Amino acid sequence: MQLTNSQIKRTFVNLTPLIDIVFILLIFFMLASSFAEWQFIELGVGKADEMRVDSRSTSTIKLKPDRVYELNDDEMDVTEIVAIVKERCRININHPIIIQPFEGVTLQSLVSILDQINEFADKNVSLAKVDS
Amino acid sequence: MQIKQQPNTKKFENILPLVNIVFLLLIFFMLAGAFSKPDVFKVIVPTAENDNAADRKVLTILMNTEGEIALDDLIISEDELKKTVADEVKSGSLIQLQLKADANVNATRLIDVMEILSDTGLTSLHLLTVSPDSKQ
Repeated sequence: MQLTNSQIKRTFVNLTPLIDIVFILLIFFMLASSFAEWQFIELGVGKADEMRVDSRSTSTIKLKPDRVYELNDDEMDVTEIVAIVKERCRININHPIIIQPFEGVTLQSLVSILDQINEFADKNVSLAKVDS
Repeated sequence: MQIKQQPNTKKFENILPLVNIVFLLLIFFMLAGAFSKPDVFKVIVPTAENDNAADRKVLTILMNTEGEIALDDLIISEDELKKTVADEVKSGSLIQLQLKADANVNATRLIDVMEILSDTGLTSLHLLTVSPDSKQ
């Protein structure tokens, strides 16, 4: 009895170079692709007015290093500040809010508080430098 | 008599599911990924909950923790930034300016840059952020 090899043998194209190329393409697309969804916070860049603000009619939030927050010079928790400012904005929609970050405060801390305040007030928020 | 199967046949059959998965991944990354131009220096932008989608086709200022400023792939000084932005505003070609600053930059530095830009006639600046649950 003769066993023919051709009956059980299937011809295969060598796939190794194709797989190599596909792997290289995969690595390229994985590294070159960006899935980040960019968002923005709008900041007004008008010419700053040199004016003295009435502390009773303005909410001045001071951001100090080590997560110390002050509202009109009273140290309090950030959620408390946001709640008070939100209430003031509910009474007066144009209630001016000034945020003063001190040296050593990161942008992330500033953005976090801006993010919370922008939910109810965005046009009346100003950033100010601390008087030296 | 023993019939031997081709050793090559077995080897290829074992890696075929892997090749299929790799092909699927390749197609996914080709279709879903958007190409991003690498920045002149790396910045990790702050995260925020807002949902304003940013437009990529505008002039972008890059700012890192070392205090370096770059405007569209070119590291420049504050004076050069002021001059370039003022020229762009004057020519009317600048629609919007974006600031891509590192989350660990000093917040006072942001105000410094805003002060510089206030002299150029620019009215607003978009501070770029990412959603807390999305990676850069």
